[in-house]
Amino acid sequence: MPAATTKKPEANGESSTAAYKAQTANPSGNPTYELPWVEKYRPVFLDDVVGNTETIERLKIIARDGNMPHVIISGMPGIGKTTSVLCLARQLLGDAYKEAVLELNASDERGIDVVRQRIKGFAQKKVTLPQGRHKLVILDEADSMTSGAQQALRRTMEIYSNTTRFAFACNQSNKIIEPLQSRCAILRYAKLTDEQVVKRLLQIIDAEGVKFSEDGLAALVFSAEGDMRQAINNLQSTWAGFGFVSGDNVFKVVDSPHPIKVQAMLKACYEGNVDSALDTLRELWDLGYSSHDIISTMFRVTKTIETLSEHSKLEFIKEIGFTHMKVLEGVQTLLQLSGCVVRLCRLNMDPKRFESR
Amino acid sequence: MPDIRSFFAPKGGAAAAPSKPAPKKKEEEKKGRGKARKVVEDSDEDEEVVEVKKSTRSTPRKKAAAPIEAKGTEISTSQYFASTKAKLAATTTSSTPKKAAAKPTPELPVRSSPRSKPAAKPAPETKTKKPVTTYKKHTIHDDDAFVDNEDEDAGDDIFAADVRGNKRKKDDYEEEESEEEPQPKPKRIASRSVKKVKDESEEDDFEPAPKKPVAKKPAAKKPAASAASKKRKSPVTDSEESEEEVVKKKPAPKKAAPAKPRATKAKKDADAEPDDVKDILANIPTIQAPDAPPKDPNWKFDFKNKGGGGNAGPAPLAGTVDIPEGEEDCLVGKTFVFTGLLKTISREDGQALVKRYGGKVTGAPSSKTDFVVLGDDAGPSKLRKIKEHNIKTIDEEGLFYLIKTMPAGGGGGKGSEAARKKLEQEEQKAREEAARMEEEEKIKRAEATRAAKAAAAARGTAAPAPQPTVPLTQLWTSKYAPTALNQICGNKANVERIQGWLKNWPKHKKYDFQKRGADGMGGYRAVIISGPPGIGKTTSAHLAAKLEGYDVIESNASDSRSKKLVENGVMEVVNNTSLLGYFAGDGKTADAAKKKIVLVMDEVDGMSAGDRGGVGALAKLCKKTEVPMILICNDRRLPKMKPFDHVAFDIKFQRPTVDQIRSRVMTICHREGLKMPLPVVNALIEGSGKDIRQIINMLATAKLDQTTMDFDQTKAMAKAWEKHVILKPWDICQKIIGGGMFSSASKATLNDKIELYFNDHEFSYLMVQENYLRAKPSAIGGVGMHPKEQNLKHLELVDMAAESISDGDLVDRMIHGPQQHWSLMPTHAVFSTVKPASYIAGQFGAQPTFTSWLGNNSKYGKLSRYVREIHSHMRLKSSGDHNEIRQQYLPVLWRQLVKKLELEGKEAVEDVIELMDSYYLTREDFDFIKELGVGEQDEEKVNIDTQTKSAFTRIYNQASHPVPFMRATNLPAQAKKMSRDVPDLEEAIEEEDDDEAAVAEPVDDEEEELDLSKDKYVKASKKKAAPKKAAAPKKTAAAKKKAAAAVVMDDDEAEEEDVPVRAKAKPAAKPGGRPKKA
Repeated sequence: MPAATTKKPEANGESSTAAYKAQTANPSGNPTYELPWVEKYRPVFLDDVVGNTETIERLKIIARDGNMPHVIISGMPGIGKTTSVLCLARQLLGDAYKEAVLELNASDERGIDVVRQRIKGFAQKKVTLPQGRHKLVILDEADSMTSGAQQALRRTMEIYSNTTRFAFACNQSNKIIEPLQSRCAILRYAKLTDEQVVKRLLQIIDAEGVKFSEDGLAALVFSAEGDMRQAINNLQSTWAGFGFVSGDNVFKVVDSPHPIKVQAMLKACYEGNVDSALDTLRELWDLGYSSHDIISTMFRVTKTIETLSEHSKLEFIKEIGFTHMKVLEGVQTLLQLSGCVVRLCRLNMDPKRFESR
Repeated sequence: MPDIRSFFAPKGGAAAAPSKPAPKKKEEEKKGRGKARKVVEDSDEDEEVVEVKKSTRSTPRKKAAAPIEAKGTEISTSQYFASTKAKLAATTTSSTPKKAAAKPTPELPVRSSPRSKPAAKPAPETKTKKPVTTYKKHTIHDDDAFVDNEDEDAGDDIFAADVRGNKRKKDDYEEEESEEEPQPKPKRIASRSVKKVKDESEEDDFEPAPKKPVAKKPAAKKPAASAASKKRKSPVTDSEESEEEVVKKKPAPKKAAPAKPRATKAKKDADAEPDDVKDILANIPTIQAPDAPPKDPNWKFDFKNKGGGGNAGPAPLAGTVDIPEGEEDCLVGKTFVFTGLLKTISREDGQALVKRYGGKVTGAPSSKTDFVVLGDDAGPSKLRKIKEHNIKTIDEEGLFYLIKTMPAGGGGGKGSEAARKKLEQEEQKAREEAARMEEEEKIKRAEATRAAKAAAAARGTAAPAPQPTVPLTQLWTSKYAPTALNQICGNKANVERIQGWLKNWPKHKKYDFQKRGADGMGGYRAVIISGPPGIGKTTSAHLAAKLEGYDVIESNASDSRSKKLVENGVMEVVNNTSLLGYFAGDGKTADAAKKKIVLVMDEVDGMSAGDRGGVGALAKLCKKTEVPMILICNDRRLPKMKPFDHVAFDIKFQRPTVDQIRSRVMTICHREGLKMPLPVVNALIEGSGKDIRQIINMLATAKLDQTTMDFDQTKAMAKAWEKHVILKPWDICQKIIGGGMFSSASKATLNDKIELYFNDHEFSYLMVQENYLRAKPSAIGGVGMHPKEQNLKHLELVDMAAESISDGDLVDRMIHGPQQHWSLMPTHAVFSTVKPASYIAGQFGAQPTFTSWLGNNSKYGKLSRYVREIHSHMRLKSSGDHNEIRQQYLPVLWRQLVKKLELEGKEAVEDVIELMDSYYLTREDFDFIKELGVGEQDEEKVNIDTQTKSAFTRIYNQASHPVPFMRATNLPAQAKKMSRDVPDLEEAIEEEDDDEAAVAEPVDDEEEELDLSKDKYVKASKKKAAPKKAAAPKKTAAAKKKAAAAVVMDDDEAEEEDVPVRAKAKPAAKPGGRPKKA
C-alpha cells in the first residue's frame, strides 16, 4: 500500500483547523471526559471535510451565497455525508441553527404522520433569517423512510421552497422515490482515497499524541477501505488497547483474513500452483481465522479480483459457493477448505491429467 | 424544397418573401459570400423571366406552395443552395426511382441527370418549362416533408426579400436538373468539360449548380462528392481521384456525377468552402455498402430472428482503438446514421462522439444524411436506402478520420454554416425570450410597487420603500416556472384541453354533464393527469386554472386524505366560492369574476397508509363534485388508480422532446449567464431523461461554481444525477439477459451484475428462470455455422444455464429453509441469476414474461393438499404414504371413478359411490381426483355429462357416508352433515362441536394410530364401516347428544379444565362410555 505510506503534504489546501482546534479546545472541556474520536474530530466546517473536493467546493459556495437547493447526498457509510450536511447547515445558518434546522434521522419517528405534521409545521414556521438563507430540514438516512412518507414530502418541498430547503443523506439513492430525486440536486460521494484517510488520521494522531508505525497506519487505511469512520474507530481502539499502532496490533483489532493474502491464494489457484495456494491457506488457518471468515473473504475477493476473466470468476464462485454451503452446514475443517482450494486449482488444469490411465 | 416554391412564387413575391429572410441575413454575416450573392442576384434577374413563365403555368401550385414556404427554413444561403440541391438530388433520386421502378437500378438515371444537365445545357434558363412541371410533380411531396422538418426555423419574416433571388437561381438550377432527368445521360466527360466552360462563363448561374452536387445527400453517395458542401471546393484532381475510387466501387454513373459538380464548384465556391475541408472530405476512407439483398415483396425482415435492434449492442473489439480528439464542433452540420454492428466502438459511443462534435445523429438514412457509419449486419432496408440516396458510407475509421482532420466549426462549409446559423438563431431566440422575461419581471415589480403604494396611500401611511428584489431566495425551478402557455415545454395540446375543459365547465354543468362535446370531455366533472415526474403536470394544472380565472385549492400527499377527511373536508371545499371574488389585498380591486374554484388533488397515487379509503371516496366525489377537479398522478396503471377509470377524463402527459425543452433551457442559461453550446444542452436534456425540473436543478447547481459547461462535464453530471430507481423485475431480466452486460465490451463489473439481483432479490432470479429459454445467446456465435451446429451450441448453453439455476435452488433452500443462512445471498445471486445469464445473454427481443413460478407454486401447494387429504381419508384402507397414493392408487381410482362415470353415465353412479365409500372418499375427493389427473387423465379431457354429474351429486347426498375420522378443520362441515342426517339434534350439539374442535386434534394425532378402536369417530365410521354406513352416524350423533347433554350439565369451567382428559376419556367413553357420562 504505497499510497498509505507516503505522507503527502496537504494536497488541496484544506486547512486542518479541526485537529488543532480540537487540541486547543480540549482544555475547555473536562479532560477526563472521553469522547469517541469520531465525534471529537468530526469536522465543524466544510473546510475540514476530507475528500470529494469538487462537491465540497460546491457546498462551500452554497454556504457562502445561500440559496441552497434541495440536495440528496448519497454514498457509502463513513465518507462524510452527514458531516458535510451538518457543516453546511451550521455555516449557512450560524446562530439560527437551533431554530432553523430540523434534523431527523432514522432514530426519530418519521412516518407519514410526522411528515405531515412535524415537517410541514416546521416548513410553515416563520423564522427570521438573513437574506438568501432558508430553514433547513435534514433527513438523515432517508433511504429508510417509507415511500408514503416520501410522497408526502413532494409538494411540501415545492410549496415551501421559498422558506425551507431539504437535505437528504442516504446510502442508496435508489431508495428515494423518483419524484424526490427529480426535485433535488444529487450529490454522490465517492469513497475516500487512501491519501485522504491518511491525512486525516495523521491529524488526529498528532492531536492525540498516538505512537504509531508506518505499517500500522497502512493497516488502518487498508482495513477501512475508504471508510473514514472505521479508520478512526480502529485507530482509537488500537491505541486504547495496545498503546501502539503497528500493523500487527491493528490486525488484532480488525480481525479478518487479509484480503491480500487471500488474493495471493486465489491467484495461485488460478495458475494451478497447488502447493503455494495450500501453504497460504494453512497460514491463514494457523492465524486462527474461522473457515467461515476465510470462505466469505474468498468470495468477496474473487468478485473483485482483476486478473481473472469473468468466466473464471464465475467458475471460482461456483466452487466457493458450494464450499460455503458446506461450511454453513457445519463442516468447518481445514480439510474442507483445502478441498475447495484444490478444486479451484483443478479448474484451470488440463482435464486430461486427471484421467486414470 | 424551398427552391421550387420560391420558384413559383417569385413574382407573387409576398408569399415567398417572408420565408427567405433567414438565409439572407446569414449570408450578410458571412464574409466572402457577398460576391457570390451578387452574382446570384444578377442571374436571378435573367432567370426571372423564365420563372415568370413557369409561375404563370403553375399558379395553382404557387398558392399551395406559398403557405408552406411561409414556414421558411433558416439556413444560410450557401447552405440553402446546398440543401436545395441536396433536396433536389434527393427528390430526384427518391422520386425518380419510385416513379420509374423502384428497382435495383434506379440510381443510375437519377445521378446522371444532375451532372448531365449542366453539360448538356449551357443555357439553363431556356430549357425549363416542361421539365419543370414534371419536376414539380415529383418533388412536391418530398419538398413538403422537407419543409416540415425544418419547421422549427420558421418565422423570420423580417429578412425576407434578398434571398429570393438566390432561391430563384436555385430554382432554375433545379429546373435544369429536372430536365435532365428525362434525358438520357450524356457522357460524363463531355459534360464535365462543358461545365467547366460554363463555370467560367456563367459563374452566377452556375454557382447554385455546384452546390447541388455538394448537397449532403447526393454527396454521400461517393466519397469525393460525399460529405457536405464543403467538399466541393476540393480541387478537381481530388475529385477525380475520388472518382476513380468510386468507379471501382460503384457503377460508372454515380462516380461521374459527384466528380463533376465538385470540380465546377471548386472553382466557384472557393470562398464558401476551404480547400482543406474539401480535401478531408474527399479523402475519407469510405467503404462500400454491401448490396442489399434483392427485394422480394414477399420477404420480410424477420425481426424475431434477428432480434430487433440487436446490433445496438457493444462492439466486439471495443477498447482496441484510441478514439481521436477533434476540433470543437468539427462535425457541425453533418448528419450521421449508424447502422450495423461496429467493430471497434459501440454504437452508443459512436453516436456520443458525433454529438460531441456537433454532428447530428438520426435513426434512418434519408436524403438528408451525410454519412452512414456502416457496421456488420446492417439491415437490408437501410442498405437499400443508402443505395437509393447514394449516401456516403464510412466505417469507424472514416469517422475517426473525419474527427481528426476536420477543422473547428465544421470548416465553414455550407452545411456547417447552416447549422451554425440555426444555432445562432436559437440563441437569438433564447436571448429574446430572456429579454422578454426580464421585461415581464420589471412590469410585475412595478405593479407590485404600485399596488403597495396604493395600499399605503389607502392606509394613509407612507409608501414603504420598494423592496429590493431578492434574486437568490428562489429556487430556479420556481423562478422559471412557466407563467404563460407558450412557456410550457411539450404537452401543449393537453394543457389547452384542460384549459378548454375548465372554460366550458359551467356550461357542461348546465347540461348536467350529459353532453360529451367534440372532445368527449364534456361528460366529465374531473380530469386525471398522469405522467412521469418533472414534466410539468402540476404546473400545467395550475397554469390552466390561472388562465381560466379559477382559484386553485390544492391538496397533496402532505395532507391527510383518508376517506373521512376527503368526504368531509373536500366536500366542503366543493361547495365554496372563492373569497377573492369579493375581497382583495391591499390596494387591489376585487375581481368579481374570481369566484371560481378548481380543486387540484396532487399526487393521488401518493395516497397511502393513513389515507385508507381515500381513493374510493375521491372517485365518488369525482362523480358529483360541484367544482372542477383535476387529479394528478404518476402512474395511471396502478391498481389503486382503478376507481378513477370512468369518473375522470384521462390526460396523459408525455415526456417532451429535446427540441421542446431546448429553447427553454437555453433561455434560462442565457438569463443566468451560463454559457452552454448547443450539443451540451442536448446532452444535458437527454442525460436527464427529459426531466425539466431536474435539468433546471442541474443548471442551478452547475452555475454555482462555473459559467460554462462542456460536453464531458455535462455527461459526467448527467451520469451522476442519473436517477437511481429500483428496477422492476422485468427490467432486471431485460437488462441482464438482453442488455449486453456480458459482452466483452461491457464495462459492467461482476458486482454490478450481482447488484442487479439485489434490486429485487425475490423476483429477479425467478424472472431469469422464466425467460432464459427465450433469449438468443450471443455466445452461439453462429456466423457461418450450420443451423444444426447452432442448435447444438444453444442447447449446451441452455444446459449450463439450467444447471446453474438448479444449483441456485439448492442455495435458496439454505436461505429460505429452516436455517436461514442469509449470508449465502451473494452466492445465490451468482448461482441463480448472474451465472445463467452469462451463458444465455444475448438478444432478447420480446418483453419478459412474468414468472409463472408463483402461480405454479401455489397450484403445487393446492394439489399436494389434495393428495394429503385423499391420503388421510384412505389411510385406513391403504398402506402407502401420500406419494404412493399419488403414484399408485390415484391412476387406478381415476379409472374406476372418473372414467367409469364418464363412460357409463348414470348407471355407474351407485358403483362409484360404493367404491368411494369403501375408501372413505368424500364427494370432494372425487373432484380432487379428477383435478389431479395428468397426461391421459388430464382434467381437460374428462367429459362427464351434466346429467350424470348432477345425478351423482344427488344420489351421493341422499345417503350418508362413512367418515374415517374427524379432523378439526372439518368439524363445521361435519356438524352440518350431521344435522342433516339427524334432524332431531338439539342446539347442544353445536356447543359440543366447538368443544370437539379443540378436543379432536389430539385425538387424531395421538390416538388414531395407537388405538383406533377406542376413537369414537373411528369407531363410528370405520369399524362399522361399510355395512353400518347408515347406522353409524346416527349412533355417533346419539353419542354426541348424550355427551353434549352431559357437558351442558357440567359447568363450563370444568369442561375447559377437562379438555385433555376428556379428549382421552371421550373416545373411550363414547363407545362403551355412555354409562360413564351418565
